[in-house]
Amino acid sequence: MQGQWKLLSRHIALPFLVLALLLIASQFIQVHADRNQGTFYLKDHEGDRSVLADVTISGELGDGFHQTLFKLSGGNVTKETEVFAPPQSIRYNTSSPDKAKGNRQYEWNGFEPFSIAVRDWSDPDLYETAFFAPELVEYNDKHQVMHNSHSFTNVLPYGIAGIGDQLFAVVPSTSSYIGTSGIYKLNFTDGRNGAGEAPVSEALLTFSLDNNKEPGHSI
Amino acid sequence: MKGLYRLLNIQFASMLPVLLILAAGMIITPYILLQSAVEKLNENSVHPRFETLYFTSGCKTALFVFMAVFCVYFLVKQYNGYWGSKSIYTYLTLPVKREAYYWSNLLSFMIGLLLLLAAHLLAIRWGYSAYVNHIGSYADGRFVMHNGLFLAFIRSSFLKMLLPVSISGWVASISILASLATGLYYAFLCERGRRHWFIILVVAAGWIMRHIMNAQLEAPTLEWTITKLYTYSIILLFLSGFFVWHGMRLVRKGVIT
Repeated sequence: MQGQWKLLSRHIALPFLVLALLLIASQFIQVHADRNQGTFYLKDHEGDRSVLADVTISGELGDGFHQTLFKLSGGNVTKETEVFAPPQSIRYNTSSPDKAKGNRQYEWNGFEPFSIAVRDWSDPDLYETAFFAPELVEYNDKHQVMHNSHSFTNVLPYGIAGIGDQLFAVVPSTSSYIGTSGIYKLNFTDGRNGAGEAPVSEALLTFSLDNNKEPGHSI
Repeated sequence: MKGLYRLLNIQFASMLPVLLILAAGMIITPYILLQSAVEKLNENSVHPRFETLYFTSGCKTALFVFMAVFCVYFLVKQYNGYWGSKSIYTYLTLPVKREAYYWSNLLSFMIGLLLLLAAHLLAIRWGYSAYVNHIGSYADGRFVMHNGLFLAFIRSSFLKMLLPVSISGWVASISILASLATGLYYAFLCERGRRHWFIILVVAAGWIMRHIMNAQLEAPTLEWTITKLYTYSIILLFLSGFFVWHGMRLVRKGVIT
């Protein structure tokens, strides 16, 4: 044992160097092998999927950290993820890239009505807001949660989506919410006007969250 | 070269027991910290992202503590060569080049630092699986964030320093690690060789290191441009080069006895 250790210790340093480098490299490879592992899928709610046979659904999911281009067609999903690394990724002056997309930063405030404000770093004059008011109530241990202490499943700007220039929003509510939520077609107006003057955005579709009242759920 | 190889293995083997204990601690501690933090979560709680839990559970502190303990251990071991075993006098009279003595110390220190970093990265992956196991165990796993470890590594600027995404990130992190290792050993050699004024350079390197770390943590900001990142990193690498050159010179001239 003593003799073996002596023999081994004469050649111990480089194997450990190689081991350390291999471990670091393998962690890097494993982490970045996951870059296209985000989940994109079609879920059938109603109707017949075959009508989508010739339809290609493509888009881009992202924030200030990364973006994934995805394409759903013929039952196949392809994904292409790009990661932005600071400081090269500075297209915006923000310390919260999870609220940014491209040149734009989104601030989502308030509750009933929600307000979303957009700023554009390539156009300092642009400051627009939109308002929408789903009828949502959050409960925590049978008490209604009052403003400023609501919890959501994610950072609020992740509930924003766009087709072309038109933006839509949905509240990332948790299973503690009841009432009616929906997908809102955001109607932006100059944010320098007061909240009272701006028109409230209309719902594209609404859905009920009252299933959350059922036993087994938190309310 | 042969002398260096033998000395390096001797130095590294003598550090290995402590290094292995530290590496084991580096792997286990974040796991325990994350496990105890994640156990408090249930289906009615707000679920923090993994990178947030990594900070609040103290894993980052654990990383710094273990790294610092290893640095202190390295210095204590060097001073032992003077005050305890007086082995320094034996080393410098060995029939090998004195540069070999310098490099064997520096390289075994660097290998140790890399090993601890690798252990910490393993611990993050292991801790993440503990996190997913726990929050996946209720509510049909609805609270598990898909691909959460990848997202944690690209969102958290601290994790991005440990495992950079971009080339510039690697340059910054490698220059910090290189100047930490060379700078600490150089400061020791300066102290031994009574070249106290040169320690100012190590302090300067420390300032630059701190600046790069802070800026990388706060990135992206308008002030922290790619040009600045490369400039500061190259200054650090130059300083490291100087530390190696001058440190080797001090050892060769024997002024460190």
